[in-house]
Amino acid sequence: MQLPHFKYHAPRSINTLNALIEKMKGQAIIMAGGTELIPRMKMRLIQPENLISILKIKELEHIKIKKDKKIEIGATVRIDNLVNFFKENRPFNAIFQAANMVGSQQIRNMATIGGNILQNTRCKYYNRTLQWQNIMPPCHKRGGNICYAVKNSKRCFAVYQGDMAAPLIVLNGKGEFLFDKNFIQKPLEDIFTGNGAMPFNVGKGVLIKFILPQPEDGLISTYKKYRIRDGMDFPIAGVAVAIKIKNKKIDDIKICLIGVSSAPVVIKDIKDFISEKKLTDKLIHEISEIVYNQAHPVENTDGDINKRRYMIKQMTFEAIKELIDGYDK
Amino acid sequence: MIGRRIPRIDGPIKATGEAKYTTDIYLPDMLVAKMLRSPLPHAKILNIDISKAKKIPGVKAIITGRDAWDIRHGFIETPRYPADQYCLANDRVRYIGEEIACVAAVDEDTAYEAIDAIKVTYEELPAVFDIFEAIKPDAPDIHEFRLPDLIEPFKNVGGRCANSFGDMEAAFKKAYLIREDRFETQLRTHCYLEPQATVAYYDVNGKLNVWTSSMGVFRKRMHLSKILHMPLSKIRIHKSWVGGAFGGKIDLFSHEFCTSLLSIKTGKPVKYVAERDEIFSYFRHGQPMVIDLKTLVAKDGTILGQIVRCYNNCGAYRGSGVVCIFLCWGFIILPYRIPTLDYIGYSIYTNNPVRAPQKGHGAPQVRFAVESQLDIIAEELGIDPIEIRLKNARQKGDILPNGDTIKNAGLIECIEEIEKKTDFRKKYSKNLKEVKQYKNNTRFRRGIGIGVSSYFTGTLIYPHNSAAIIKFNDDGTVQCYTGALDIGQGAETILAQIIAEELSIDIKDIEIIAGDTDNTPVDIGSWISGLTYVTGNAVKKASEDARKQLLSSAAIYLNVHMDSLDMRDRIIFVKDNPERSITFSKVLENHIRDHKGDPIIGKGFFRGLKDAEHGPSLKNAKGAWSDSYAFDAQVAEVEVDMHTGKIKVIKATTAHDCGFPINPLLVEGQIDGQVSMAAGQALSEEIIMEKGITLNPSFLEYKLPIATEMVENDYIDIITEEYKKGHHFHTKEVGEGYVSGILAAIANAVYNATGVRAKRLPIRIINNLS
Repeated sequence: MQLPHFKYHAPRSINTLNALIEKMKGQAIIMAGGTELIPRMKMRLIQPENLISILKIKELEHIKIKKDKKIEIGATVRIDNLVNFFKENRPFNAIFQAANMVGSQQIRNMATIGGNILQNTRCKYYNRTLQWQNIMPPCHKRGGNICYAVKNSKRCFAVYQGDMAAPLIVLNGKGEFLFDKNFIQKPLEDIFTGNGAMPFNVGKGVLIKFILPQPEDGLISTYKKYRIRDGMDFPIAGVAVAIKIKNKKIDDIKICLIGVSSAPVVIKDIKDFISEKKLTDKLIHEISEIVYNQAHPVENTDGDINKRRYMIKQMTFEAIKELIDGYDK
Repeated sequence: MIGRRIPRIDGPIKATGEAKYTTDIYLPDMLVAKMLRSPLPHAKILNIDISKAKKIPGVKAIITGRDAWDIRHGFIETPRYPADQYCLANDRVRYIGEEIACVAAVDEDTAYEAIDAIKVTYEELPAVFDIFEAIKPDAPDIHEFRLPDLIEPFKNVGGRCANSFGDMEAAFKKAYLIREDRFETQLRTHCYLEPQATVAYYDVNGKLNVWTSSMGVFRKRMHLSKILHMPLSKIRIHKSWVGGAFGGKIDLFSHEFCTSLLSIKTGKPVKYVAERDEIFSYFRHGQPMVIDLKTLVAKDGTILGQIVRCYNNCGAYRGSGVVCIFLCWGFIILPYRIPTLDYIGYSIYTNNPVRAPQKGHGAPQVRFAVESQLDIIAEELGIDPIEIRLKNARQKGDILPNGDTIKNAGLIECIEEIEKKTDFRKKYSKNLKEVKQYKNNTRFRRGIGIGVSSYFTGTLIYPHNSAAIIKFNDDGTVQCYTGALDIGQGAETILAQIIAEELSIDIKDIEIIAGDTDNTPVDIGSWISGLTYVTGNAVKKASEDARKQLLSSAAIYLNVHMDSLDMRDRIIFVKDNPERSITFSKVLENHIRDHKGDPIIGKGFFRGLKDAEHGPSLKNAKGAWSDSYAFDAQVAEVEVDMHTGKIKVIKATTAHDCGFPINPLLVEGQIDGQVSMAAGQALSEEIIMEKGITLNPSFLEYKLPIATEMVENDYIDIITEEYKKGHHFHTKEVGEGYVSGILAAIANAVYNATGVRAKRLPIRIINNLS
């Protein structure tokens, strides 16, 4: 399988990048590590005339701790660098966990945090070569009006499987985007549409970096991933949990699911539910049940949907239990 | 050199990337071929319009069924089972992905453009995918073919194999326990890393030169000669290295025919490399099977009889399905003594892609069923899994129902030794007790399970035999000409070891020239588990012949009787007085001078089943099958996470009676590979299909175990055969027998850990999580 023809650009600065984007009149596709884009191009799911690699823009490839203790992560920081940077970092442990389970070592060497967040949604009826797709009329995501995963559905249910989104969202990460020479920050959970066919609402914005707020006292986080094999696989269910412990009680909690919907699922009503309650296994079970009820995977990726839902509950329980049990140690 | 752990002689060229595989063949002006495939599972082809595609600049030739003669091919072609498949669909397509047209163009993009420009008009026909739907009276007819002797009211039966013996009525009367279960195995595929690929070049002399990823060059040449209407002498299959096959590259494939015909039409070399999603979706996979197994046992666990029905989903054409249902019979009667049997195997046409042999070819399916059920029976009778197996194990001297003799069988030793080494009984009963009394509430539960298996050592199927030639360079170093094709199993290393042993020379002094139909003698091929036995003996005889000639000539020059001579490192010497010696080089020089130019060439040949005219009957399983049978007992130890259902094979132990191991390192390599394949089949691998469409056509989605999931292996050698100079090689099968016992062992171990009995693969314990 060969790549389609395209023009390749590799600007060395944000300014040149801006100029290029302007020149292409929005007809260019931005590429970082390419681990997700190149296979899609080979399958002819996307055939950009112009490809702009942002890998040569030096300022995008660093992780910085700012004076105000905020952490800035450049869009082209490799997943493997995240693994190393966040190793043994208790508040941001979820980032380490998620990064460490992305793809394989080869993928982690190439893939970037920006690419991981902005990866397209996937579906077993969509991520296929043109030749394979000839056997089926186009689905919503291919410009048609059929969904094979959810029969009779009027919209696309392609699943979002970017591991890194879940930890960044529970840690209240923001993305900084370049819109027509302006830099705009958005909470990460706001960049998703929930529509599998068009998963992002960032328009022509170019993701430049991520900003993580200074970790508050008592912040702990973790990420659990369900996949069939020990490596390689995308999350077919993933749970990130961030908890703020204060006076031996959960002061704040944020849970985000991945791999069960067309966008990350931020669990609702959870903070109010636990307020002032005593930390028992029963409470953790109840939280897991709430999470379970908000996970609605469909048959569009590996594994059985009931098992995926079950694993959401199981992993939520384990994640919270581990965090709390480990807190005093 | 025999029996030594020698690293593979092809190691360096493979590790450095120097080895040329078919995809590495580039010839000047080479065209690229791409295939147009059917988007429908069952349809009449009303019209194929290539006019627009032909006009695309860069398109050099397009062939359709009309360009192919009205000739069909099959994995087997017999009066009972005539060939049933066209290389390019003629008037009808029977599965999604069936080849309709092939384009040769200057590059891939142009070829795809032409493929898209071909317009095919179809009349869609009803399709059927499930075997039990396909046999119903109202099912659509996939073929017009009817088996003349079919007594059942079944439709779409592509093949039937029936065999029974013993007094079933008496067995029923004597039976203390009758157990009946249905077992199902999934659709799996081979996952050879090197994709299917062919380069064909029809040269100006009218010779068709072919490089193709295969398992045997002489079999491919036979198929191509038939299908292309060309004399054998006009087709040359060249050697190219093969990156794995596991049964999936022995058939003739459409692209081999198409590249050949396109090269004949264009006069240019044509290359086809299958895309990975094509391989997963449309190429030949293994055989999913439903097995209804009824076993009658005495109170002490002795098997009194079995009634077996195998239903094989062979896909849209016969493929190797009819061979598989014969082999299933074989794997029923092999490792255990079955005094009474009523066996029928059906191979059923459906609108799915065609099936090929896959490592074990029926054995994994059958062993999974029988070994699982045997454990159920043992538990019901209150005896342990070891005892019931020992009670029924085949032994030396047993005569199989088809008349074959078990000349040597180490099965009982295999079972006894593996029990000792793994502490099986103790672990098994402890786990079982805990599971039964719900005492084990731990998240991670351990289990142990056993499975046994037996496999044949080659049979008679074209080209039936192997031959080899040994010739010398002036310096006494050796070149061996053999048609054997090393497909990754180490054939060339084994053959070099045999030569080194017979001629007492260093392996570095041997060059193997292999796998070329024009330049090497006939060879049976790297399949049916027969290469080391058949080709190994041919090479051994060729080496013996050369040795004898060298010694008899040296005897003259040293003026002694040849019996008093020996050789080492290319020097022949008098045993009692090693100072008196002569080099190979000098003997050869003198021999040429004194024998009218005869340079000493050793010749050897071998055919198994010397008293049989042909292989066994696929209809009734009668007739000789194989010269010898390998046996094994395998134990799996698993850990099950009761919170997630994740099953992990912690350790696999294999006790094997594989005859004399020429290279124990390669034997262990075979075991490692087969154990990992079995773990994949047991736990994760499955081709998922929906109405003829493959939904997981990639290595990302087809869950082949990854490197970190490889199983730790332990080995126990039970060697019942010995190596003797001057005798046939008493090697037995090692290439595919060890994929089956361990599969069953994993299923049994999961039961031992959890109390969940798997009757369908891959094993899922989702409903039983704590």
